[in-house]
Amino acid sequence: MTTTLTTGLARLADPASRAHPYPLLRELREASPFTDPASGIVVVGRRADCETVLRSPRVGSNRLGAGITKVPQQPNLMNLDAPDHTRLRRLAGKAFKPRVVERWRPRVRAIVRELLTDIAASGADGVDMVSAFAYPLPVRVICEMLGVPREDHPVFEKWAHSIAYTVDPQLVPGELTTEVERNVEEARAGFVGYFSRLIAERKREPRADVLSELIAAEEGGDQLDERELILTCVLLLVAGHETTANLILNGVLGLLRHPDQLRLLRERPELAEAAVEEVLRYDAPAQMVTRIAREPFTLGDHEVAAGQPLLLLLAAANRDPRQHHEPDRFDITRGDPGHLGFAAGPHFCLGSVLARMEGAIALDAFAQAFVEPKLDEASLHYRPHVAVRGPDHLRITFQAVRLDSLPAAGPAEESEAAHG
Amino acid sequence: MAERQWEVTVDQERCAGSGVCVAVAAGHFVVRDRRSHALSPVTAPDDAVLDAAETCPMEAITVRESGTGTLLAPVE
Ligand code: HEM
Ligand code: SF4
Repeated sequence: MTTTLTTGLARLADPASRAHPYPLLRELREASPFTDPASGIVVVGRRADCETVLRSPRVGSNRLGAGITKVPQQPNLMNLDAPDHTRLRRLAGKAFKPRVVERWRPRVRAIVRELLTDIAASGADGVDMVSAFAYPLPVRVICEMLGVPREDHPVFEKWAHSIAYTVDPQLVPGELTTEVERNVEEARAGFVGYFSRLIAERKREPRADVLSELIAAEEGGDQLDERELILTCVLLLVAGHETTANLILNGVLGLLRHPDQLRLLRERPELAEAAVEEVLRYDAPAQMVTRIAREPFTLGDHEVAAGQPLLLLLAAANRDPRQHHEPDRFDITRGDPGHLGFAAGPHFCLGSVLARMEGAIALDAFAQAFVEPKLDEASLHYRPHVAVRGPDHLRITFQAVRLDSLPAAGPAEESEAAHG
Repeated sequence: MAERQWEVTVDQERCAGSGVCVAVAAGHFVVRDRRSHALSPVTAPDDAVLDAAETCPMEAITVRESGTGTLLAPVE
């Protein structure tokens, strides 16, 4: 039994399981909760247990020096506990509340239209949805919100991919990570240098962007110091980048593999929001998160010791039959959210409202614009990341791209200052 | 004279059940059936409740001063 479980985490760590992790996640969920003897990690996979841990005051998120992740953590929002966590979340959260995000809707629509226009203009009968659609959308949106110049986007691509590794758990002790670590170091140094320069610029000339707002909080005195300011910017830039891209890609994939669902979405565009919820459940972009026990507690009949790291398999919990009816079926009319795609508790995703809006606009546009889209199965390839899991190549073919079928945006559509 | 009490409401339509409020203001909220509820709709002033209203990702929590109805949070 023990040996099977140990190989379980090793198999999860193996990039070969990236394309189809769900049978393995089911095994781990049904065996959980248990302590993996090799790593000492408490594996939590059932929906009710995941929720208990996420909402428990007995666990913390400070993973600095905990060795649960492949690379050392930084004291950003994700690794803070109250009261510092609450203070930073108040500041960073302002820009991602429903009323503020809603103002970006026309701009998100416009960016989607721009991307589809480029795809149509290329004249090709196929496209890589990763590089032509799913990645550019969230990157442009978050950069515009933050106030990061568009011409700088390309330099972030590589850094952002590297930073996405920082949430990967160390599933197998001694897993070789020197290269990953080097890339992360490089990306962190790159981002710090970049934002230091940009912050200096904005201090001289404030604008109507999130960066200038955060700077005002820093200059206001006791709310935010310079290091926190930089770490927050990096986190905001990176947190919504791969995750949202993977939401769009997992959605495209789910729809192409379930043509009846694609047809349904095309006929009933009002299902776009529900489709996003189903993607977050069925093929979660953030597959797992980690926590550290601050005090001993019992989970089911399993004893968790103080200081023990926990691995919460959100993607497994989202398919727990105790919570979801026929969990392995992709059904955009399901209407029972209750997934843990954005986690829960104090660290519940700060950008959920924005992610949902981008996802719904993108999946709706995908369903409406592409005529006879087909998945090129051979092209599908996944990144090695285990926590923020998603394709790095996903080619589709199609007969045509119909831009006239996209919903019209308001008059603010072409204006980059739509958020003003 | 005693400080005025605060009135705390959670908009059930907006609430996403995240539980951020429970973590930020323990003892003031409980998540039941995926929605948060104020444990005491009228409470003595406590800054933690303002923090909860400001950090709620759905802007579902409102805090007002009893009697005057002055909005205390969210204001950011
Ligand atoms: C589909 C897209 C997204 C998914 C699946 C997702 C998922 C998550 C999850 C699971 C967490 C919790 C991490 C933990 O508990 O350790 C989280 C936290 C976070 N997310 Fe998202 N996210 C998405 C998009 C975004 C976007 C667009 C932003 C934009 C700013 C964002 C910003 C953040 C931040 C700042 C945190 C840290 C919050 C904290 O620690 O208090 N996310 N996200
Ligand atoms: S923080 Fe807001 S959305 Fe989350 S449970 Fe509390 S009231 Fe609901």
